[in-house]
Amino acid sequence: MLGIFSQWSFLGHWIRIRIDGFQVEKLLSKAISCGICFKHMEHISETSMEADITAGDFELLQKLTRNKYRLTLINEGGIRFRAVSFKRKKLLICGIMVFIISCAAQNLFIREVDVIGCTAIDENQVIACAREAGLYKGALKGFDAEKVQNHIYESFDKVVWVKVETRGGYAQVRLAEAQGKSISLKESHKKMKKPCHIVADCDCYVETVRTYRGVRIVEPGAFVRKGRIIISGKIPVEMSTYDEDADKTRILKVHADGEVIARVPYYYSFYLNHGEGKKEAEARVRTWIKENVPKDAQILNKSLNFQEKENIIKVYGVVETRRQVGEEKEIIIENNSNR
Amino acid sequence: MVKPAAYICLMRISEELALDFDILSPKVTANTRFAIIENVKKAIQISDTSVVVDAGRFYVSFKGQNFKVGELMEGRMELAGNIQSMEFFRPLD
Repeated sequence: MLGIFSQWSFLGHWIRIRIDGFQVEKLLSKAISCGICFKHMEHISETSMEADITAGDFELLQKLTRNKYRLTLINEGGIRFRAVSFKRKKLLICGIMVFIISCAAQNLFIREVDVIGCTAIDENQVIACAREAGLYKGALKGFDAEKVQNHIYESFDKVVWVKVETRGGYAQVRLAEAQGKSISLKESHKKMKKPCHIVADCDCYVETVRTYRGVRIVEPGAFVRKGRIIISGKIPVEMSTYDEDADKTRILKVHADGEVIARVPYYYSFYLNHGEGKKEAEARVRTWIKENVPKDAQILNKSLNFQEKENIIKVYGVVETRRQVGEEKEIIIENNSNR
Repeated sequence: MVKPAAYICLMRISEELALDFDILSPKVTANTRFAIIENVKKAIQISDTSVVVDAGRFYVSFKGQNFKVGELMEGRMELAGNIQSMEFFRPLD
């Protein structure tokens, strides 16, 4: 059992000593009886011997030797000894710390930002844009690459594709620019993000429906009430891939787009004052049309009717117009709905 | 008189136990390159060519070449080298 502790003591701190004197064996015998452990003993000459002992045993051996023997320390070693000697070397520790910090700095921060793929756009502008989103020289490597990508994409109309990558401390912004018109594409893309229907904004008779995106619900010639869906943003899609359920029809929600031309009747009625006639009535109808009928509406027909009852003249009629109808109505996406 | 087998077996066990717990006699495990000596009380002579130790009732002597003591702790000595002979003897009183 004690042997295990001795082994550990040797691992912690061992000392290589040289014993000089007559009859070294006598000293060894005394040391054995005192429980001192020796390792790697080497006979040098008749009067000298080398051996390894623990630091604790060395003090004990010094007491035993008195003036008869001479002990010379040759070498020292062990984990504890190395740790203590290392602690004394403050300059070395500082050097190692500086080395570790410089390594960490190289690995934790962005050293250089490079932009690849610019033709019409100035590289400095892209770098400045990236800086706004958090990518710059000296920034932490944990920056949000997606945020930088989105910011660059939204800032430059000509950019159609952008990718931010880091390789070590080197950040690379790769982008592609559009050759022709890209603004309309982006705008349409932005609009496409919100799924919606096109619904009637008033009661009308539908004349023509041009569907750009979505599914036409109402046939031309039909009468629709305000709020009814004319072009639906829900498109049924049949899955053709093997991993999806072939029998199940899924609904794809899109931003419905199209032109709906309809005939819209506007009903009016008012009472004439005392002494007013047909001319005044027509003037008031024109004023009413200016105030109530949209400017882009084409007036097709208008009727003017008079009804007299107990000296009170009521004027009523219909103004028939043709105009573009339809407004967007957002599709509310439920959590359990099919996409 | 022939002794029964059980008696011989018991005798052997008792001898083995006595050998295991005997701390006064030398115990040596050795081959031609290596030796372990237990119950070492004193070192009488240690050199390149001979090692003599006091192991209680007997002295143990090794003769050979290039002897090196690998370990000497708690009455146990590990000896390495070319062992040519080994001898037990009693010191002269």
